[in-house]
Amino acid sequence: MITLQNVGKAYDLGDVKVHALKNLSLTIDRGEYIAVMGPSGSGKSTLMHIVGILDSITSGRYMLEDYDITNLPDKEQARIRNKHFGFIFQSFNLFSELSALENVMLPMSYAGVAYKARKERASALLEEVGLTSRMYHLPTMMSGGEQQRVAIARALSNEPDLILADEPTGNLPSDKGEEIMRILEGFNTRGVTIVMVTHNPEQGKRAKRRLYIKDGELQRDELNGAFSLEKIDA
Amino acid sequence: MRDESGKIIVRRFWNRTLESLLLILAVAMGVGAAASGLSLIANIGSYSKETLASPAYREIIVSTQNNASDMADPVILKPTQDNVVLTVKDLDAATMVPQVAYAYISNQTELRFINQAEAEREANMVRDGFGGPPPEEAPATVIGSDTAEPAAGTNAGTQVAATTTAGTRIAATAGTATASTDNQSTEANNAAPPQRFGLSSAELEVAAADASIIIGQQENLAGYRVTPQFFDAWSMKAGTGSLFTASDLVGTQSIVVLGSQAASVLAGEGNDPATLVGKKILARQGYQTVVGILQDTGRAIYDEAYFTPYRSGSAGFMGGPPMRSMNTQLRFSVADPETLTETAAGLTEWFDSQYGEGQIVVSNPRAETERLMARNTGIGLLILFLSLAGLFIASVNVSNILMGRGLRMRKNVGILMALGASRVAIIQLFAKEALAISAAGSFLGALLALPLSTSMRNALGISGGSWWYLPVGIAAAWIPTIIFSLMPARQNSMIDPAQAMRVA
Repeated sequence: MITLQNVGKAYDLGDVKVHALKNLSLTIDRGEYIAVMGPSGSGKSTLMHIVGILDSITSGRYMLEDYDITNLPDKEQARIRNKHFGFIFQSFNLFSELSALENVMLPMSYAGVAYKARKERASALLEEVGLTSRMYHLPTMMSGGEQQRVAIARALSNEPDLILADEPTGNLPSDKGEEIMRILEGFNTRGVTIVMVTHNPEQGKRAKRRLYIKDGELQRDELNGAFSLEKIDA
Repeated sequence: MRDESGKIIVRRFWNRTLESLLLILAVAMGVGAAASGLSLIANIGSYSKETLASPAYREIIVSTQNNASDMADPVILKPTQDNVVLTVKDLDAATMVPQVAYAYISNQTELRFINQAEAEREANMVRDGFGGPPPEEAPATVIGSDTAEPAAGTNAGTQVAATTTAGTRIAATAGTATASTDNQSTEANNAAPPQRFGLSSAELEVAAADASIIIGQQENLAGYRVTPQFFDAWSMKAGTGSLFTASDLVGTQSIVVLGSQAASVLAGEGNDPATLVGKKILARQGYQTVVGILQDTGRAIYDEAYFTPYRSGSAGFMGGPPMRSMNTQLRFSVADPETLTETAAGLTEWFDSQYGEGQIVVSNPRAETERLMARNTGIGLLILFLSLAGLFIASVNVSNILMGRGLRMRKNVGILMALGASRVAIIQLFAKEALAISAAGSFLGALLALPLSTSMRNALGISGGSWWYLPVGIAAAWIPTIIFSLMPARQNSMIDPAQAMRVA
C-alpha cells in the first residue's frame, strides 16, 4: 500500500541542518499492525507525519499504491489525508468546542458527506467504541479514556485504509490504555491497517510488526516474536 | 449551522465574548468615522459645485454704500456721499465692460391679495375703529382693467377703484402693504399713511363671479421687480404666454409673470395654470395682468414667486436728478465665472469715474463663497484624514487580534489539516470569521455614521448632495477592514501542520 524509498527529512535551522530521517526505506501493506519504536528524538513522529503526508520529505520517494505523492498539490494531499488516513494522537486533540458526536462528524464534512449521513455514521461509531450515552458531551466533560475512544471513532469516520496512532495510550492509565489497545486491535482484525508509535515494549510486542528507529535510521524491521527481516545500517 | 468546522469558530467567538465585541466595536468606530468623513467630503464637493453653478455666483453686485448692508463684503473706505443714486440707467455700464453678459435689476417685492379673509379682516378693523374712512367716503378712481398702473410703492396710499368688465365698481387699495425691499418702496410706504380698506364682501362676491379675475386664497405672494435680462441671466423661459421686454419697463399696465409653482397655487388644485394667462390678479396694488408663466426652474424661490417689471425710471421730477427713492442695486452677470474678478475691476473703474472713487460698492459674491467652500473643503479633508487614520488604526488592531486568535488556534489548524482540511478550507474558515466580524462592525458603523454624518453636515451648513454618498462611504470604509481581517486568515493557513502538532 505504502512504499518509502530512501526517504530523508532534514530541518534547516540556519547554521545547523538536522537530519530527522536518513535514507529510510519501508513498505506498509494492507491489514498490517505495525509498532514504531525507538528512543525519544529518534524520528518516530517525523516518520508518522511523513507517512500521514503532514510533512514533506527532502529526499527519496513516497509511493501510495502506485502513485508518487511526493509533490502532490495541497488540495490533493488534503483529500488523501481525509479519505485514506486516520490520525490518533497522544493528547487526543479533540475540539473542545464540539461535542463527541460533532468531533466524529468533522472529517466527514471535509469528505462532503451529507449532514444526516455523517450524523448516523458518527453515532454508529461512537456506539461501537461504547460511548452511546456520551455523544452530546463536550470533551472537557469526558475522561481521558473516553476522549481517546472519541478520537478513535473520529479516525475511523471516513473508513480509512490506514490509522496512524502516535502513542495513543501515552496519556492514559494502564487499564484505560488496555481498553484502547483492544479497540484498535479489534479494528485491525477487521482489516484496518494500523501504524502505532509507542514507547511501551508490551504494546510493541502485541503488534504484528515492529520498526525500531534510532537517530533517524531504521535499525530493525521485525515480525512479531520472530526474526529480523532486514537490518539497514546507514 | 451544519458545518462542524464553522461551529468551532462560532463557539470560539462566543466563548470570547468580550474580545469579540471589542473587535466589532473597533470595526464599527473605524467604519463609522471613515464613512462619515468620506460622505462629508463628497457632500462638500457636491454642495460647492451646485452652489457655484448658480447664476447668483456668476454676477457682480453694484450698490451705493448706504444700500450695501445686505451685501457680503461692503468695505467702506471713503466718506459716503448721500446724493449718489444708482438707477436703471447705470446698467449701461455693461456696454463698457465686455465680460458682462447680462445686466439687470432684481429687487424683492410682495403682492398682497384681496380675498374673503382680507375683506373680513378689514371689516373687523372698521368695526373696531381702526384705519381711515370707510370705502364709500374714500375718493375713488374708476379704472378699467387696462388703465391702472399702481407701480408698487410709488403710488402707495392711492385708492384705486376698479370697474370690472361687468361694470361693477370695485375699490382696491394700492400699495399699502407692499413689502418691496428696495429703498424706493420703503420710503414710499413711510411717506403715506396706511390705507386699510379693500373690498366689501358683496363687492368681492361680484369679483369672484368674474372669470377674468383671479382671487388668491393666500395672504400674499413673494416676488421680484426685475428688468428683462434677469430672465436671460437665470435661463428662465416662458412655459405659457410671454416674458417682459424692454418696452414693458416704461409701460403703464400692471403685468406679472408667474413662477410655475405660484401659478399652480393660484390656479387651484386640478386646474390648468396655463388658463391664468390673460387674467387679472386682484391685489392691493391693483389688478395685475398675468402675461406669462415660467417653466419650472428647480429653484423654489423663483418657482414660488411672481415677477413684475422694474419701473422706477432714471430721472427725477420733470427730468431732474434721480431721487433717492430710485436708488437700487445693479447686477452684472458674466458667462465665464473666471472673468468675475476682471469684470469687477472694470465695473469699479467705470463707476468710480462716474460717481467718484469709493462711492460705489462692487461686490463679488462668488469670491466670498469660494473662500467659504475652500474652508469647508479644508475642514472636510482634515476630518477625512483623521477618520481614515482611525480606520487604519482600528483595522490594524483588528488584524492583530485576529492574528492572535489564529495563533491560539495553531494546534487546531494542524489537527484540521490532519483530518482533511486543505489550506483553502482553512482560509475560508478564518475568512468567515473575519467577514462576520467586519460585517457586524460595518453594520454598527453604518448606524453610527448616519447621525454623525448628518450632524457634521449641519455643523458646516452643507445641504443637498446625494443620499448614496453615505452607503458608498460605508462600502469604501468596509474594504480595508476586510483586507486587514483576511490577512491573518491567509497567514494562518500557511501554518505547517506537522510543526503545529509538534508544538502541540
